Amino acid sequence: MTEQEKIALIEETLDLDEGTLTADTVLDDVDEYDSMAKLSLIVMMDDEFGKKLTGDVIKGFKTVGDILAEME
Amino acid sequence: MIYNEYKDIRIAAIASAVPKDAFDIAAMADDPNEDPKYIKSFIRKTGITQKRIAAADQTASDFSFAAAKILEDNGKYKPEEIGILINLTQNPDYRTPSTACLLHDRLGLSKSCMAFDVNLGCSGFVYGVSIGAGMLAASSADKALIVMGDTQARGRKETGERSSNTRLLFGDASSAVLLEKSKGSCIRSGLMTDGTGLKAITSPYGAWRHPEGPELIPGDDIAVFNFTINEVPELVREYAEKTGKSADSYDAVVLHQANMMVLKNIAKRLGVEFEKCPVSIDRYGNTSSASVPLTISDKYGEDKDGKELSLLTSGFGIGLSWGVLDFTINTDDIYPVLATDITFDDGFTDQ
Repeated sequence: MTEQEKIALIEETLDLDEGTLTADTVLDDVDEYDSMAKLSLIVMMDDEFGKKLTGDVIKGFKTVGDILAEME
Repeated sequence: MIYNEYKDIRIAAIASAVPKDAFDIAAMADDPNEDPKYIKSFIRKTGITQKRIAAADQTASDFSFAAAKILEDNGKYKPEEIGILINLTQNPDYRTPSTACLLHDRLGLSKSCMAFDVNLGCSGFVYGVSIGAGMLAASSADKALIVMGDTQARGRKETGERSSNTRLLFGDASSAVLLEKSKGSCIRSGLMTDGTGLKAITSPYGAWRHPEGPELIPGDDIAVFNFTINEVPELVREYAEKTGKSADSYDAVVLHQANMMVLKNIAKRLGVEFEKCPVSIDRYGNTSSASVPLTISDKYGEDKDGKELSLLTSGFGIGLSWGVLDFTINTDDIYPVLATDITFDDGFTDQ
């Protein structure tokens, strides 16, 4: 999966229009990145990458790039 | 897992009651005080479009009373036959005595009856039936009444600040389950607790360790979500190994109605078709201890076809506490959900 495809997947998970995010986007600046969105992220990461996201890992996400780094 | 088998005990009837008026969450998108984008996203992720909120003068015991009366009025029990009354709630009428004693009086039960409360939330149904069935099996009584209900929605403000998930998530409801001795029947359960998860969902103020403080504090949504989607499927698998009956071999798998994401995720992890998992959260919200029996009432309450159902149920939440319970029940013994404005004047006044 290319980085652009991964960003598109994050946008879909967070209910955002395509092209809204870049790797540098600060998550605190994204209104839609709320607690429900974080749960969606847990499901997406498990479904697509077989990874279990803990609360500590999610707390460490500052930018979209931090999420991308987990999508391997 | 603590595995339990309650032989010669059956669930003889289930009834449920909710507040009279539906609260329309979808309509909140048109409220200028709300964020319409958030409301729409909330609905899509949780599946909740409506819920019921108790009136200011209604408590969980009013709905528990109403649900129990359905069973009495339909001839399922006579008050003098009930030897055990257990009430499961996080929203008692008083700090003391237990609400079960109040319900004992309102239901006109005999003095030859044990009655007490159990403080559990979303695992209330599986725990309550297990406790009741275990006690009934060892008792001179022939029937036990297990009621469970919460008013987690009533105390929360519904307009004003930007929406928070828990403000919208919960709905108010109660259910009543009648247990009776019945040769050849069997109820089984598997129960778990993880006290290290105490802080994930808690109301630490207003009791004896911290008398002063806010009624509600934020929980750890992520910890609860991860607990649910990992621990519940694991328990169901362990339970299936013990019973020799797989989750998809039941007529239905009735899960605590936490939110739609949780329901779909657990079903997927169990390899159970989602169509086999009845849903009530869309119209009633997360109804805490009553959610499993309410979902059964909602799904089968109108089916008077005498069908013998084999159900696997699971409750999970505050504690952390979770469990599974399986049993058979005839659709004729399941009553439709009653919407009621019933209340009770106990003679006390607010101070």
